Amino acid sequence: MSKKRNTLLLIAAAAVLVVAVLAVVYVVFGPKAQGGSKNITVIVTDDAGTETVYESRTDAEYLIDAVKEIDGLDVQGTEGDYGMFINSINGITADYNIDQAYWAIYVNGEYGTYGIDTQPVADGDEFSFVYERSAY
Amino acid sequence: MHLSNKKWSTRDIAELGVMVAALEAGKLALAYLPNVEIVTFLIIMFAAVYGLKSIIAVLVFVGVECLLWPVSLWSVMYLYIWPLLAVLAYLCRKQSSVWFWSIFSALYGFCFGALCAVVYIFTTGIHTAVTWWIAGIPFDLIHGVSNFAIMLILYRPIRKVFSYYHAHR
Repeated sequence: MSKKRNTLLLIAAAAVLVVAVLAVVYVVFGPKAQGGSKNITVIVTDDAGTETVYESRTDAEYLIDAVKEIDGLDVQGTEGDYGMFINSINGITADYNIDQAYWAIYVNGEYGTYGIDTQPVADGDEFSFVYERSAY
Repeated sequence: MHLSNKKWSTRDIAELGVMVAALEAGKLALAYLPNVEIVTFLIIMFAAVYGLKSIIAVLVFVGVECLLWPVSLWSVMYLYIWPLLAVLAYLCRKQSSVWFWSIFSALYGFCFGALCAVVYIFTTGIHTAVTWWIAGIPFDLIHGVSNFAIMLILYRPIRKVFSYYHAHR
């Protein structure tokens, strides 16, 4: 077997291995929806820094559905290639193109790594929507 | 053009400009497609044909990107991700199999999120870095598959053009 063929087999094996590792990691540690009733807290911090706290009991599995159920909380967004992007909350629009503003999501105090439509909801979770401006 | 040369000819500088322009135009042309990009393909081809000097083009490309878009963490990622790709492609420059380069491109796409996440280890900590990487795994898989397809389709015709051009300099 030639050296080039060995190299090809080696890199192909590496690719298969990497795909397998990615799949296993995502299945085991990736986001998981939780059924049943859950108590959650949603905190909205607007552009003036004013906090509004909402307590809710929900059966929703993802944050987007949970916030839709909350009276007095109006979240508007647009569907994009990477999921839903939040445009405005309670009528306050964050437009990155104008002043680098955006609505950030925090989950239990940590910066969220999922969009509002892929963020799972678990019992006792605290979600914060914070109006932020990029420092850059 | 050789890195060891003390002087760069007008042609060398022009070629550098063309490489940067191709990278920028290629990136913008496919920006509307999520996780599909041609920058990986171009950097590999430049590294395979022009060698280590392609790193200079890559660094200029990153500089242009910083001028066009707000500088943020992605700028730091770009500073090592694209030059690293050029170095890896240069190390494998003797490979001529379309399948090798297609799988190579796919691997880089699969690992893209993990490589980007390194920045988060130093800014927000290992926990955020790992969760950020995991959240992006589906996008990494799409990225790898699209890289594979682009290389599979374009490698032979573009390599042929590059080789012809290089032989007739």
